[in-house]
Amino acid sequence: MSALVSGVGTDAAIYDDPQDADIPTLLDSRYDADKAQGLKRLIALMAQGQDVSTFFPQVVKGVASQSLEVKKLVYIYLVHYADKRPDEALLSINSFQRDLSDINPLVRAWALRAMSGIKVRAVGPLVIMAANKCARDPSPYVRRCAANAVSKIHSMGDEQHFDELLVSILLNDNYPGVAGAAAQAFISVCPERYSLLSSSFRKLCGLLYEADEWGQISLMDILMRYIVAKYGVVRDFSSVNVEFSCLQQAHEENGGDFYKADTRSSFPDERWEVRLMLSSTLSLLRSQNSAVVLQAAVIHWYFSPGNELSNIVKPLLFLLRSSLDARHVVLANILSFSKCEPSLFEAYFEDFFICSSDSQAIQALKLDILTNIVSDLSATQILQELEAYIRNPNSQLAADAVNSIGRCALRLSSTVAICTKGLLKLVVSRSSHSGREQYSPGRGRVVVQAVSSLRAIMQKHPAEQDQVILHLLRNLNHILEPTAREVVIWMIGEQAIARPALAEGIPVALRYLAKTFANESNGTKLQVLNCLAKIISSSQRCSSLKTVLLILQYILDLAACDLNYDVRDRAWILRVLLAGHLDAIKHHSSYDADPPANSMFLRQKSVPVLPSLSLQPSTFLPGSMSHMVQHKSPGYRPLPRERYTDLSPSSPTLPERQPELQSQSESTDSGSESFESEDDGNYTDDDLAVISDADGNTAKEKADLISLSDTELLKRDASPEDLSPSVDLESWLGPEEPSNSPEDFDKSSNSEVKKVLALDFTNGDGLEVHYGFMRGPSIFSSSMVCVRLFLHNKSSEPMHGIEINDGETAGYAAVLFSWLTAFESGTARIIPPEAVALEPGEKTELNAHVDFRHNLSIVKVCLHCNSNKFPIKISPEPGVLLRPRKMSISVFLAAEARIAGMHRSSRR
Amino acid sequence: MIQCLFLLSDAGDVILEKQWMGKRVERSICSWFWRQRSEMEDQDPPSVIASPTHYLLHIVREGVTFLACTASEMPPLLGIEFLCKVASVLENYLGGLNEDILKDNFVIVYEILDEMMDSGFPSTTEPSVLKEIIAPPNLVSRVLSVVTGTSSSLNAASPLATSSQVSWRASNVKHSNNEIYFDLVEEMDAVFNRDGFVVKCEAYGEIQATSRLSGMPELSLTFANADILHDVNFHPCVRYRAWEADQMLSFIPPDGAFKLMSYRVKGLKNPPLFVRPQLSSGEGICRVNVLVGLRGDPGKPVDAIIVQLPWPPSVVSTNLSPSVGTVTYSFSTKVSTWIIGRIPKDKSPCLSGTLQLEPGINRLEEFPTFLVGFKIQGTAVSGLKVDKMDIRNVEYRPYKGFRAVTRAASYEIRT
Repeated sequence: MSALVSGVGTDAAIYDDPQDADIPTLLDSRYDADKAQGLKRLIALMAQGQDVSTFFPQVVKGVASQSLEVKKLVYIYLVHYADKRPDEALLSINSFQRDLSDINPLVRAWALRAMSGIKVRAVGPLVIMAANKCARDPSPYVRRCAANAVSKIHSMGDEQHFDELLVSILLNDNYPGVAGAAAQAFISVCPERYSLLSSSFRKLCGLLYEADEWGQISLMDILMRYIVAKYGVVRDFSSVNVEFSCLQQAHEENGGDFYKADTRSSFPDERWEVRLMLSSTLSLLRSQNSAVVLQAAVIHWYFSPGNELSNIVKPLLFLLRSSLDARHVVLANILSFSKCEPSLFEAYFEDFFICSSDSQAIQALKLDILTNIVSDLSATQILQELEAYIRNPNSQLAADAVNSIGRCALRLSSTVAICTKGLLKLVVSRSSHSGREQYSPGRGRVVVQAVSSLRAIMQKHPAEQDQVILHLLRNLNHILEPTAREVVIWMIGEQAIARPALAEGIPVALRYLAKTFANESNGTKLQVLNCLAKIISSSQRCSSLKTVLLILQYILDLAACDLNYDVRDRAWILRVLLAGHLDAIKHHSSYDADPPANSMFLRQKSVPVLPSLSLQPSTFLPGSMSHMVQHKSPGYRPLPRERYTDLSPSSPTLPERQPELQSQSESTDSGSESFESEDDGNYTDDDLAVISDADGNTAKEKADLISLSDTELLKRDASPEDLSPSVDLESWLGPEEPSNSPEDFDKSSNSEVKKVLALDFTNGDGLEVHYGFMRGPSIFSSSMVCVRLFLHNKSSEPMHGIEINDGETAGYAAVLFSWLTAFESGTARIIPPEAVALEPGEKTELNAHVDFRHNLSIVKVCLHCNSNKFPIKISPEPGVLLRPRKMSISVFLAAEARIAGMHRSSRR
Repeated sequence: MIQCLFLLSDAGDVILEKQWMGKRVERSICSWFWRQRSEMEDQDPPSVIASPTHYLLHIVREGVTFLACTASEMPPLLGIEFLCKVASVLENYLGGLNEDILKDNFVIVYEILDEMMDSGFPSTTEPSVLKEIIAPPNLVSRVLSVVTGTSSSLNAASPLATSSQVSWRASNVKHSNNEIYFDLVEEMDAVFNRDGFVVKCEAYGEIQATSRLSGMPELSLTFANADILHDVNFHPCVRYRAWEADQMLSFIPPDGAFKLMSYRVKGLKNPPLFVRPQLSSGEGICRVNVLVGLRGDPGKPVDAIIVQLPWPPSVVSTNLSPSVGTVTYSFSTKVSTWIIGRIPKDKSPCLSGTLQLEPGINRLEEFPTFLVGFKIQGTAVSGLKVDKMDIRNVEYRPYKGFRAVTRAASYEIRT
């Protein structure tokens, strides 16, 4: 009581010192006030992160109290510890059932909520009964609670039938709030059961506007999926995948305006559902809740005909101002929309101008959108704006703006001239003032980015080159940032030699480079060497060969004594490769250009893609979590692909789950496509890869060489071979974690190897089998994993002929033979161990080699013993055998995003 | 769905946690989040982050971080909007948001959170309905609790808006004084480029209403110039059809304070203030001269004028003196703050002086963006005008009040 008085009515004292009173005594008190005190103290402890589940039995008794406050506090406690002490929660089941008939709807609802939180099988039927009762309760508050309880009941047991029954009852509820919660239950219980919706579709559309904002989101989600399943979509994110759905055809037949028809008139055809959904979600685009607006916009994105799509633009843009916390997510979604339909947002470029309160992530998204939507009309203003960002003290923003200018030029050829001019000016001005000792990293970043953007523009529009390269050559002595110098030197080697106008400039530049060679960074030195090799290889086109030759020899001599072994190696390689050229030039004889050397140095380079600053384009559903985090999150459901022909309510069978699987594989396919296209995009210079091929180096050496070559400056250092088995990564996506993974570990005998029980002695006639992974590569094949089997004869009789096979062939020799043939043809899954015999009580260990085909699916084998057969499942464990793989950070991030396992929650 | 919510103080400590699902989320996720936050230095991390185990959504209100965790797919905006709702409901209930207030009222906070979400999905979030279930704390109930020893915040007899036709309003609301107030709160966003031209100038406005009306009043609000509104969104009580047809707000208001509508007016021509900065640098110093003045006549006095001048990192120290107001300089953030207040009639505000640059740097090469703050009482800068407000379906004649205020939100001057 003293605590109460000092707190003058607030609970501050309880929070600060919850344990200054004896909590058990308070809980056991006859007075509700004391009970409430005790419970408040428990909740205070809970809030501070302490585990107070030991009080469970005493707390549960409080349910019987007549005081509303005590009840509420008990329920708060119960929900918190629901799954921790299920058995003790059972004690109170009678009180809950009594509360279910209370006159106060709050009490009824709370009782159901607490009951459904108890995860015990035995209670299942009671909870279902309770939910059933509540679903027909007069109070909508209780009915909504019943809807929420359905998903909890579903996660607990196998009464699928009841769940669906309940959902269908609740979906037909006339109270908007209940229908919204029912939609959520539908999503968690039976998301594919579209036949439930077809009867109530019209009613749900009608309730949509009156439902609460959260219900609107769920309702829109199920309505959208229903329509997709029935009719397909009008547009998609991957233009390749768009099917010509009946919707699209309809748009074309009617000139796109049949939606204009009054929705209340009789519908001549079956597509009234689409029209109804679009018209009833139109008003939701004006909601104050950003999640509702985005969901409605997604619906319109997928279904509205082209001329009406602009409905979504203003509401989406307004979210950027009206819901500041939602900006990041909304921008990410606008980015995806603008990628597909840039024209939608073209006129509203001002909304993507950056203001100083924007965080870095938002700035990057806005710049990406600006480069997506730039058009001839807006180019001047957007470029002016980007120019203003370059002056910003934030060097990251300045560099990003320069990158965006480059991308604008790549997108709109009309802006090439002005962009190159601006970038050149920037390089020159930012470089020439650097007559000071320290070099600010921020400025360097801008110069590097400007030079890289220039290089990309030059490669796409070679016509502009002369002036640009001349300018860069003249300012080479001012460009101090090593990375920027590397790019300029690369441009000399690649692009200048093809230009007769620049022929005189090259020897001057080379002479300058020869002079500064000793002081250059390692990367620049390698670039100088490459550049010289390119010039020599194209010797026919260069007039002042003599000078170049002298410079080459001088630099080769210098490089041969360099401190860095990469530079030395490169010099030696070039000396050998170019020996023919050198001799020919020395003796003034005409030398046939050595084809391998030429093809090595003078290959056609593809135009690089300037990396986007924020999110990579993905095919995930807009508005979803997966779309934001760029990987498939647990529970993500892509849109249904296939059209269900039979959606009538009487349809007895559930739709097959096939379409989902199919669309999953489709999405991974398109994922791997983008993987490869990224490949092509950045992969512009592979001289050195060819060199190492020619030398017959091993893959490892090659990887090392690659990382030293020009490709380094193109931010890509994984060789194509490293990337090709991207299937490996993909294959981790598909299968779910094995549901029956054995959890019985025998850690006592061998602490190093984690043993998993494969066969229990009660099932195996006394033979117990464990298996464990040996953390080592298999001797048979690099794709196999060594699995050790631990056999223990726990029976009183000897066992003989213990062997493992696939259950078809018998006898070790025959088995081995069949395995070997399979192995040679590359189809073997397992190399079995030799047959053994075991005396009573004897233990032995065998090694098998299993090929899991890079996925998580279980390998089934058959164990023979005393002419009995026992099936055994070996389930792979991710992360047991790791092999380093070299890849660049961007490739890594792209790969990481596709691995579901990295973010999978463990299910128990 | 949302598994749990953590409320973190500005030091990163957990004030309280609320778990909604059986599967508990450990507190260690908060320290992971806080590490991420500190790695971002002065910036707030993106509102959606994928941690190794969970997806984290967060918002920050008054120094309190609302952090929600989920392990599975859900619309991220749903989570963020829910957090915003929680923050606004708590603020509404407790009359403020900070660590102490939350600790003082943690039981009510728990009761509210328990009501607002059920098994991971938002449930009752409408403040007026919540108040029927959980009474807000007030002095009377506190004193009563001390005197009687009982401290129930729960309403014993709960009407629960059951019989009402509209979910946001109970059917039996009664007030002795019937009144309704509308506040037009406008925020002005403007960007001026280095030549003083307007790059962008727009106003974002909200109509915040406070209703204390008995019965089931039918209100309608019309504007004299609704056509200037570029974007709008509405409280769920507003009938969209009426707006589409007649540009009229027709609604049954919820009881208490609510945001009736928000809007945006783009392409404004008359930003009320101009700021003319001149920076010229050389030989290690930068001369600064900033002029501030009124642009046109906004009709009402412009108050609380304040100019923030964040200097680039290469500036070491400042020596600035204003003709009006005061200037303070923060060494840690390198921001000069010039507080002008109201512009006097006889003097024009001018800030002049020099900046000392880092040794070795001759000229300033990064150019700061100045931020301006001001406030204009009694006028909506967008020019939006309420024409009339009618009330039907009730016997009484309520008191009606209108107010308007304009603030600068992001008013930026590039140099």
